[in-house]
Amino acid sequence: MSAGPLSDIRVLEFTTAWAGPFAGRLLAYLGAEVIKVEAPSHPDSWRGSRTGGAPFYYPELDPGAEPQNRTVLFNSQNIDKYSIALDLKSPGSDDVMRDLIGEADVIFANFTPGVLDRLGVGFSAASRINPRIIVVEMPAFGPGGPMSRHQGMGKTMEPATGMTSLMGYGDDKPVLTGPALMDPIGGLNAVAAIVTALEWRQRTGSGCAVQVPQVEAATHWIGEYVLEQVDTGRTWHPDGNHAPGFAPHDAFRCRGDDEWIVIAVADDRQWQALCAVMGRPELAARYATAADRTERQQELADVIGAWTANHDRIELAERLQQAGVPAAPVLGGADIAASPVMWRSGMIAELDHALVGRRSYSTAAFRLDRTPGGCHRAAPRFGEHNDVILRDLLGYDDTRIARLRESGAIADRPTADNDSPRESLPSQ
Amino acid sequence: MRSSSPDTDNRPLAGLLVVDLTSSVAGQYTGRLLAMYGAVVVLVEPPDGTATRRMPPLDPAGGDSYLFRHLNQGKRSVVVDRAVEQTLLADLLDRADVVLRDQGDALPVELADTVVDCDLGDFPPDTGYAAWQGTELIHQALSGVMNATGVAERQPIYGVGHRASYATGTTAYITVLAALHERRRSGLGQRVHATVFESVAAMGQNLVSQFSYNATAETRARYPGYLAMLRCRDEWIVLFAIRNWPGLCQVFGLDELVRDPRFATQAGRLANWPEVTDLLRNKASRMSSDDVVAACQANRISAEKVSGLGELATSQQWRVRSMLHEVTSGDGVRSEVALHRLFHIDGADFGVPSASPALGADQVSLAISGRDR
Repeated sequence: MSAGPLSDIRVLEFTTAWAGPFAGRLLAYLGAEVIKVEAPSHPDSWRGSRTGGAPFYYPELDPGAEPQNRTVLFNSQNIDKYSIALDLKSPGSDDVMRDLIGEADVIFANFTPGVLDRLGVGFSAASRINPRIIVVEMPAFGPGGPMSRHQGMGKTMEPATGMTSLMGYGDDKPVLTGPALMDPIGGLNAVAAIVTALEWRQRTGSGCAVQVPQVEAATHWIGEYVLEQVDTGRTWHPDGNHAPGFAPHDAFRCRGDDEWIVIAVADDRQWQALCAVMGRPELAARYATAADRTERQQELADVIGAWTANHDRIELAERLQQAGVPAAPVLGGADIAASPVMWRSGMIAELDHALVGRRSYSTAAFRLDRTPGGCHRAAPRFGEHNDVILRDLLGYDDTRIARLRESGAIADRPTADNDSPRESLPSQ
Repeated sequence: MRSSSPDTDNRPLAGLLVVDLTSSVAGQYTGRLLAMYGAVVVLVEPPDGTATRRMPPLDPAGGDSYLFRHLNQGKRSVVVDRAVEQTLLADLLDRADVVLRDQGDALPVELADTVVDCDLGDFPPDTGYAAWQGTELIHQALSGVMNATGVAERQPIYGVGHRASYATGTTAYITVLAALHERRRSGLGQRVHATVFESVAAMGQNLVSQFSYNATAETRARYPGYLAMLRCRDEWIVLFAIRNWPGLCQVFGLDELVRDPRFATQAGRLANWPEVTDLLRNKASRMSSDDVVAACQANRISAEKVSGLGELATSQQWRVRSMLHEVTSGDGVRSEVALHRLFHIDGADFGVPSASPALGADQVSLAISGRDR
């Protein structure tokens, strides 16, 4: 087990769903000790319901006796964390929280703005306890604007960035990214903010408050279109998979049910190579220039699609790449879970969990030769590390821990459901 | 909109020298982030300029592309013909804290052991894709995101722009700063790496784990949640109605549904969500998007308009939040619009300090500062 570069950093995580937990998982991969703090009456929403939700979130489609500790949603985003379940309204819990803050470097949350303050762990309260604490919040929008209080979720934040208006089939209807991509974008940007704030603390000697407005931060990922819009008053109009600088640039149906290959031709050489693999050298001359190909993309798509329809997407992509044509199969979950490249590159880890057994999880993309970090432990059960944290980190004795358990300040299982988004759908 | 250059001593990464040898969107975005938070970043270009100067979207007036501007604002530029003369590059590398380079790019000198040496590429070496050519379309196809984007009866949609590369640039930025953090403990730099393939794969929600749990996976067929994209009288909106069913009914004038047994439970609403969407769609077509969004948000239902960039750039939200500011070139002659902040650290200055550099704009000053050391 190799220590990661942040192995001297302790993080208190107050998060729910995807963006925040994803950020915590990345910090843990980099070696930080991440303690996830959940309220018994308000657990992470991705733990789902106490009675179980949609079957496809559970091992073998079975929620089992403890669905909130068995759901793949929670278990995929909370790898390598410690869990403490603390009811901040119960006697003794404020002492625990104060002691935790005293031992921490970073607090971060993805709740609606103001929740951390109401919990008593916002920057002004936390910095009185620990002047070196960094407190990071991840609101959908920053303070001050008319949208500052908006409820943001991955799927609704994307259209607010402007991204969705740039995606579509070319008709009037925009297309949203399938997975709620704004969540991992928000998580990545939050981790970027945290490592930057650690540098800032090194310069100042003091902690700081940090805001990562998720919509604003994600707008940088389409920054070139923003600059074009401001400078010229216009920008890209969505047109399926077409993209400036490439032709053909599309997905083409292959043999099988909903199986596709993508091909991205950037220059004449790649086009000639594609025509050679197709066994259609005459096309190289017929659509000789980028301008020809761009102007007649639909015509080209018909020709190429008729050819790809008889081929296996994976074999064909391999042949095209070998010939110098950028191409790839459109992969789904089953393909990716079995991908030799995913396994070989360390993007999949197998971890043992007491209630779900040994399962595969995607990891993180940080690659450091000397201090690599990594994934080591499955996600924690709710409150799994209550005693370890109180005894080993905070130095509480057994009597004090028993008292906290008796008062309800700490709990070993959730006392309520949360608003799980996905119940009772048939498995796919 | 115009702002003066931030005080470079009051920025989190002030004092760091970064040599950016990259030619990719991912690599140059890493450099932009480092410049945005205070590092001095020197973009080293070939005599005809880095390729991103000519990559779309292009300036109709013939200037550098908007992609180049966005990726390289705040940097300095020197030209090095590496086949001929590498003295300036060797000098820069000798002074660097961080080096950014393309995967496989050999350096002319050995770096000091305190340097964080970051290479960026499309695919991890020693894997089956090592020799493949990657583009945004290729990476989105391999990531699983594309397979789930679009409608079931049509081809999958890859998205827009270079989002996979921005993910990689952010990943590399985090990796570099984490290595610098560790350098304080050990006194040592290290080699670090980022690839587009791995960076995008890391963002997959639970593709691998869900398949491991029960051999199922998400596709374009149907999003398994309370999601609706609705055409209002004027614009499209997206809503995600995870909570407050009565409030949702009220917003759309469908109060009778509150007591409809089909929608009495969360499970019932989800199972019958296509029917709900049809009803909402019918009502929304006669309502204004602003009214729907405001009413939903007042009921704590997440909803937003599908905003175009023209609308956003002139919006009150962007104005109040100072999303855009104007930056000038080092010689004060040229100005450009820049996106202001990615995140805010209280007490620290941030933002790109200058416009994207003209080719070789800092050739003389950096050569002189190297000689004067």
